[in-house]
Amino acid sequence: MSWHRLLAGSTKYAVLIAFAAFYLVPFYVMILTGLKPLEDISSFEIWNMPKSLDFGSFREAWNQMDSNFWNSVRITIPGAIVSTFLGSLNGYVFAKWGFRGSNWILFLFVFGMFLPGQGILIPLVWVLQFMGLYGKVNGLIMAYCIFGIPITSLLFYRYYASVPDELVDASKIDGCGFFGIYRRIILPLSGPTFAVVGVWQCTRIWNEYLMALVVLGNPARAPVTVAIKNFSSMGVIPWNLQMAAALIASVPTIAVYLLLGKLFMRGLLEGSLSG
Amino acid sequence: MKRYFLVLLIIVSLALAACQPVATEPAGDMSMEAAEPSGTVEVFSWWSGGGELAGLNAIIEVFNARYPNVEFDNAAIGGGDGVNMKTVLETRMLGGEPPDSFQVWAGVGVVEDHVVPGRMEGLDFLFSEEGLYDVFPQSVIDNVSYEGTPYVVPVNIHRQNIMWYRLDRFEAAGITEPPTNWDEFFVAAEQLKEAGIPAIGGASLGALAFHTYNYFLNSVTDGETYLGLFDGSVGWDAPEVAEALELHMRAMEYASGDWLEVGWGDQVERFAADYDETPAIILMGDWFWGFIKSEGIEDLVGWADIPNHQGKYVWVADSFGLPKNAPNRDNAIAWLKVVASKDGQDAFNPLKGSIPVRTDGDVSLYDEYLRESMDAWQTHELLPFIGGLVRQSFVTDLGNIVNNMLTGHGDVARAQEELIQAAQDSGIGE
Amino acid sequence: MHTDLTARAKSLPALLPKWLRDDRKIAILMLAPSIIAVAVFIYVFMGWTLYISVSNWDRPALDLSFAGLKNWQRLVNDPRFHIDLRNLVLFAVGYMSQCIVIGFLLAALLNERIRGEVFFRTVFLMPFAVSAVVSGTAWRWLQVPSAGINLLIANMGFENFRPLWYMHPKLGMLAITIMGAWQFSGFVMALYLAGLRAIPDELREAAVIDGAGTIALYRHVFIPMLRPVTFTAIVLTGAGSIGNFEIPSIIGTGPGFATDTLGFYMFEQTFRSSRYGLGAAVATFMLVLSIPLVLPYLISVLREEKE
Repeated sequence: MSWHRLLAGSTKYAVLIAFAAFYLVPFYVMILTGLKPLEDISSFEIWNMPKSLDFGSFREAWNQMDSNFWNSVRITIPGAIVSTFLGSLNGYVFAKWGFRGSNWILFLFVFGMFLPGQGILIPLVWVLQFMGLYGKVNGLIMAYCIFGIPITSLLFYRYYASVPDELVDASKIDGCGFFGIYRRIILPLSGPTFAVVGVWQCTRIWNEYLMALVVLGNPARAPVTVAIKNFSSMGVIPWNLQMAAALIASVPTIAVYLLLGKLFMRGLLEGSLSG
Repeated sequence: MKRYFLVLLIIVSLALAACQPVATEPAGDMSMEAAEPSGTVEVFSWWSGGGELAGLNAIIEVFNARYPNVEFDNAAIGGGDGVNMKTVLETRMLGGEPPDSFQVWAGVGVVEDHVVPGRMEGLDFLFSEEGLYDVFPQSVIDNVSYEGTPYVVPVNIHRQNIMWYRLDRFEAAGITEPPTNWDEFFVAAEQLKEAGIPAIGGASLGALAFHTYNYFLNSVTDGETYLGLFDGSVGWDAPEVAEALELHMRAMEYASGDWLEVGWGDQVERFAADYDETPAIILMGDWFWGFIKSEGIEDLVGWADIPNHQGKYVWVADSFGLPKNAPNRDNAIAWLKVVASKDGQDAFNPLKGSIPVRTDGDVSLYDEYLRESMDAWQTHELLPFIGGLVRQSFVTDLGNIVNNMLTGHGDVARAQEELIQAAQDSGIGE
Repeated sequence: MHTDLTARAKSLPALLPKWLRDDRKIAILMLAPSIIAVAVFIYVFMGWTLYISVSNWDRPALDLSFAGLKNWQRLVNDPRFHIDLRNLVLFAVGYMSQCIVIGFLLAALLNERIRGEVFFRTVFLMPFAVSAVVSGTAWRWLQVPSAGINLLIANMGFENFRPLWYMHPKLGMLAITIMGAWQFSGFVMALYLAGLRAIPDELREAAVIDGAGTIALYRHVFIPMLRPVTFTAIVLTGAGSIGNFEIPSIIGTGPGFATDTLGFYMFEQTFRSSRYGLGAAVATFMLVLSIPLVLPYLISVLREEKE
């Protein structure tokens, strides 16, 4: 191996390590700050190690936000499950039962996905109120399901489009109808896609902020993202609590991501999400 | 496959956890004493930390003792001046889901934003039943009323205009007496500057700029002109508006060199400790007294009238109202009764650092500063603070406009133009 | 659960009216709720917002009388709107270029059969799993000008280099782009990596046989072939720039609105100042801004799909 290949090789790793540090530093600082008690918090000592392991901040943050955490769970899980199933069904229709204009409908679905959420906020509050769902967890879940339809439908559509039509035609000849084909051909093939879309929806819903802020008015009913914001007031910011809260709020999505990261990557690599 | 199973397990266990009731609803009181309020009462406030929280907890205790069957749902949303709480409240109002009661500054603001749009219930019945017409000062009753009907119950009086200063910093710069007018202030500021001490604390924050501008405006206007700016009899093109803006700009030149970069929380923290950047003076309302006490630095700090504020008491009353369609109306009324009560106010105010609205408060419960404030309330010219004089939209605009001038363009004429526009937008004088 | 559903479905056709026995009609029926939901909650709502933007509703009390272009005039003349437009440009340029450059660089490096690829990939994508609220909270602490990262810089011996980060009265927005890129560049990396892996090895080998070096390989083969990925990344980051809301709501709008965004301006005018008409005008403006960004992309993707 010549010296310049060695140099090129080590430069590569140096760059990769430098970026890994960039991505990890905020997590590091969150942990570090969360482990200090409030009296040791000063922006000048941000990099200092805690004097002793003190989980008091985490405990206090958790005591203040545990109900918010469970709210997030109660919102995320039904929201992700319903919107993933809806997406699967819609994707199946778009891919295998396309009708005149179905391409246009898909187009309008996907177009809506890219538009900023501010555009629908005011009417959303009205309509949820009209339906008796304003300020309720169920109202927010419904909103997430509806605004999740475009992305989930698109992801399943892309996957189902790659299922050969011959398979579908063959089972039609066998006498299978719309649901029969879905059950016998489509569903058994969809496992990984369900996981990819489910993970995607879980993280999106868990991390959402704007709509949760507007739809759920009571801080006790709010999800974690809104709770983090509520840790600051006009006086001294309790950085330790805020960092601990931010970390607690991130644990579920990071855990899911670490466990399913490979699957998520595979979904990406197979082109589920790319252009 | 193993991994799928693991994930499934996690999802199932989380789902199970989610099914468990998180907040158990209090069992409904099935006994025959139906008149006794039971259930919950949801109360919005922006008291989420420090002395504010201590005060709120104290009055909640009074409430719990009196109404043991009502669960107090404390929906406190932090953020100075209630900026965050007010946005949440607005969406709740838009969604037709008001809380049972919410904190608001007494005055024109609540009238324009909530009473005129028909969102509030009149409280004449409560004021009569509880004898509040006799124990609240007439000026406050006028302030919380619209067309003769009171709409909110005030729990306290805060004095807005106090100059807090560090005794050791004044001494280090050779200042013996706190400045009484702005000329003296700028002399003192120069002396402090020579001693390497920032004269005044500041930060880039709309809410702070709003409060501070209020002080400058009061120091260049008489009461009539000041009130006129908000009832429309004096236009915002008045020279006093510009004069106050100029004073404000000039004063901020004596803030620490990094005042633009640090948060207000940092400045407050510095004031309580010893840094090179510790400001000698903080202009703030008397909730700051609560902070000083919680830091235990009473001996380090002196207080005086803000320059040119002699004999003026700029006040604000934190109040609670009864929205129409409050889901637990009876419980909300129970809460308002506690807010208006002698024990309620005397439990709340000593901790919050404010004085009771009731004239029959127990003076012995209040500390030296608060007693002085009670005296001043009797003898000074009473001027409501801007937050009680206009709609919330103008409060937000004023803070933004002044903050932008201080931290950005520095153009007094432009800021005044924007203020004239904002006053028009918020319907001042309509 | 689905076996249940489909088992029932098997016996369903006999029960259904004749016109519903056609599978295609069942398919449309299954899709109908989604179509209605999207039509109402996205498109009707947008139309509604557009109408509010020309109404007189600028007080807490509802007032939907027609006001003409009053709110729009107000918007166009509002200095804050001008600052927000400048901020949008600053943010979009900084955020998009960081995401795309960093994403591409990291993907290219990871594509070189690197040891520890899984570790790096996992770390790069991790911020994507957390909320923008978390990003804003952590970076706000890191970018405190008097301390934070600046302490590290000073310790390295550059005492005189002390950026103001998000407190900079003019360029504060660029500091915000770092927070955004921290979250999203890993995702762009994943997109590029997927694109690179999809390029057949023969192509690379053929180019190498033709004597192309690494740089030439990227310039003439990979980058052109990755154009669709770049297009995707531009549209995603562009849409993210327009909708930016979380970070200013955590960090604040900064000195002279240096870190204010259209999304936050809309939110504040609507829900803090009860100027619903003006808020709706900002929202409509954001919608209109998104159209030229998204439309060409979708058309090109759909066209490709048909082929």
